[in-house]
Formats: sequence, C-alpha cells, structure tokens
Amino acid sequence: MTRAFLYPSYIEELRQACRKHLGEVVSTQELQATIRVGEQHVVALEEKQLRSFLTDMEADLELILFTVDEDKQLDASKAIARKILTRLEEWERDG
Amino acid sequence: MQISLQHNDRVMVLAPMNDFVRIRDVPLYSSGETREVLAGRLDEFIDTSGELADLNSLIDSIDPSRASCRTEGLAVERLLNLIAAGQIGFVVLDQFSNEPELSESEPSPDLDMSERVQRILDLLPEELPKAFEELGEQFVASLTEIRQLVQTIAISLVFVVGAFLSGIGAAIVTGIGFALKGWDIFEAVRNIWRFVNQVAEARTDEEFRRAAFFLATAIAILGIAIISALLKKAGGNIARRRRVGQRPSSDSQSSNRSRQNREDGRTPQETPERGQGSGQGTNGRERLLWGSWNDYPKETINGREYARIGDRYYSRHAVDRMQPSGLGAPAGADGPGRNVTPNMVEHVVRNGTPRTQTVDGVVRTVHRSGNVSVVTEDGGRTIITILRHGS
Repeated sequence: MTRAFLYPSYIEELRQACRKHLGEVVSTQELQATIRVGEQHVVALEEKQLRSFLTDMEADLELILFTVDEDKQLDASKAIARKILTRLEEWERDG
Repeated sequence: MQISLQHNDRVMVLAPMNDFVRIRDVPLYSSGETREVLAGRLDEFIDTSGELADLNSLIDSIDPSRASCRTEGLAVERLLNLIAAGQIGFVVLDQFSNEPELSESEPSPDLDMSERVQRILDLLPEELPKAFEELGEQFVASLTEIRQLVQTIAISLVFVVGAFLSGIGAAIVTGIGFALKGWDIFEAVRNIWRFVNQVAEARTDEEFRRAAFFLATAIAILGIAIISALLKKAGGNIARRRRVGQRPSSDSQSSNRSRQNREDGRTPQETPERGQGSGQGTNGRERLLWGSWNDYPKETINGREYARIGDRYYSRHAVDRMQPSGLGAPAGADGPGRNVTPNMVEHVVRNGTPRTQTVDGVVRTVHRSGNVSVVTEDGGRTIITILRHGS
C-alpha cells in the first residue's frame, strides 16, 4: 500500500533540502529552517506523525549544532538528512 | 597535574581521572556521586581565594579552550562539570593533622633541620623492624641496605621537611604523586606527613623515635626504592609550589558564597543557592517573566550579552527559542519559538535527566524532562538553547 502526503509540495521541498545538505550545498541551519517551515505548514491531524517527526528532527539538528564539535557537525547532520529521506520513503511505500 | 587542599586534618587531592586509573582500590569521589555531595565536599576544602589559581590550573589542563574563571564560584562550577563528565576525580584523605605528637619529657637542645633528620636516620635501623612487624611483614633488609637507604633519602628528607616548615603542608601529598602502588600509597603518604610534622617539632628522644617510626612505616608500606623515588619527586614538586595554608574551620560554604558575592558585586540575597537542582536557580516557587529579549535585564559575561531570568543567564538564541510559536519568528531569529516558559526551563534544569559532554572544549549539559531539553553551560548557570521534541 502506498501513501500520498497531504502536503506534497512541502515534502518535495524537504527532500530537496536533505539531498542538497548531503551534497553540502545547504548548511545545517538551512536544513533546520526548512524543517521548521514544515512544522508550521503541516497542520492536518492526519499528518500529526509527520509533524511530530519533523519536530524531533529539528531538535536533533539543534542539539547537533550546540553539543557536537564543529568538525563533526556535518557528518552528524548528514545522518539526520539521510534519516529523513529514509523515513519519508518508508511512509510513502508502506502507507 | 594534581592539586591538594587542606582543611583541618584532612587533605583533598584533585587530579585528572587518568591519574587515578593507575591506583587500585582508590575510594574516589567522581561522576558517580550526586552533584550535591560533590559540591558539599568541595565546599569544605575550597575556602580561600588562594586556591583559585590552583583550580584554574587543573581545569585548564583538562579544558584549555576557555578563559580561566574569575571567581572561585565559577571555578567550582566548572570543576563540578568536569567531575560529572568523569574527567576529574578527587579523594579525601583524613588524619593529616598538622599537630605533632609531643611528649612531656625533658627537651633536648635545639637542632637545625639537618641535625634533626640525621638523628631520625640514626634511629631508622631500630624502627624499621618494628614497623614491618606492626604491618605483619617480615623485615629482611641487611644493615648495608639500610645504610644505603639512609644515604639515598637523607638529602630529600631535609628538603621535604624544610619545605614543609616554609608552609607548604598540603603540597607534600601532591608532590608524592600517584605512581607505582595502589591505595596503600596514601597510607604511606599519611605516615610521611606525620613524620614531617613530628620531625619539625621533636625535641625529646621519644618524639624523634616516633618520627623515625612514621618514616619506617612509610618505608615498610612502599619499599625502599619507591620511598626514595617519591621523596625525590616530592622535593621537585614542592619547589614549584606556593604556600597552601591551614583552612579555618568555620562554615566554609557561607564564606565561599560571601567571597563570590563580593567578586560578582552581588548581595547575598541575589546569590544562587548551590545544592538546589543543578546548582543555581530560584526557590522553585517564583513565577518568572515569560517575555521577549527586550523585556529582560541584560548582563555581559566574557563579552557576551545574556538576559538575566531568575538566577540564570539566557543567551539571545535561547530566549528566541522560548517564545510562543503562534507569535511568529522574533526579529532576527530564523524561526518561531518552541513554546517553552522560563519556569519550564527551571523545572527541566532542576529535575531533568542531565547528560554532559564537551563541545569544542566547552563542557555543556543537556537536561531533558518530557519533551523539553535545555542545553546549559557552567553547571546550569547559563542557558544556551532550548529544544522541543516531538515525542
């Protein structure tokens, strides 16, 4: 069973931001800002799981920015970007 | 790098945790203790401004990236963070009285230090077998070996005792260092300490004999080679140290706080109470203003401006992230706030689960309670950022 997101344009924007972050085109702060936009944008009750996930990811990135050595931040935030892409793919595939 | 602090007849030795790793069975105060227990222990010993340089030296040896603390209060907070992070440990050794055991018998003429030490060394061959017997061990050294020992340690002993008389009492423990032996080393150090005190004041045969027995006991515990090496090391370390005097036995905690108040320019009523929650804070009943950056009084610390909310200092980033999310992004911020009030922050810092880590040389603690986390520095005194988790 596949699933269609209620906010496809935002999901695509988020995916793009994650890919660009993995390609080191956008910074951790920019990825974090994109996620924060999603928290404001995703308001439907049906997407509360997505909203909660975005809040978690935003907190994880904030934690990385303030509790991880600067030279290790990029690797840590890339792991978050990969996690977001994987989770979106799982949700889309598994419904 | 080790430092030693004396309070009455007890000595506290603080050192990087790596130094303690080599010591077996050491009853260490470390990250396993609660912050209150650690703070209480430190308060007993850290009571004069003279220790600030020592504390900063130890802290800087672990965490050199930050400026040295200007007050002992800040130094203690950083020390507690490093202890909580498992980077510094300390032991408290008792029975290190500065009072020699003096008898009532007729005094012999005054002697200079070399003569005093020589007199004790003359008595050492008689006292060594007794000391071994007392410890339940067999004494097997020959007279020749004892003479060699006496020759080896004589100069070191004169130096150590002389340094002690110059007022470097607690330094002896530091100077002895951690090496070679397990916890026994501190029992040996205690006997050397007693020996040094005794030899400085001894005037009668009985007192000299008692001093010789203390030295013999240390030798019996550690062995001749180690005692010789330790005394040489002690001599070198003592030469590099300044005076560490006897602490008054009054309430050191309150005097510490008073001193910090003076240095911070605060009245006692404004001073955070240690031992509540993570170190500082309000009494838990105060309702703290939930406002924006412009609503709070500001204080500049190390060139950075912080908002003062209750007894804590908040970065601008933290204040922005606390704002109600429905009000939009504060000016200059990159997004709306996370709906966290100062009282929630207070609760999380006091009651949340702390996790300490060093970030680019700065010790930061993440306190988490429910779906809110607070990142702090200086033992919770400074709030760096606020996190709101989704689950």
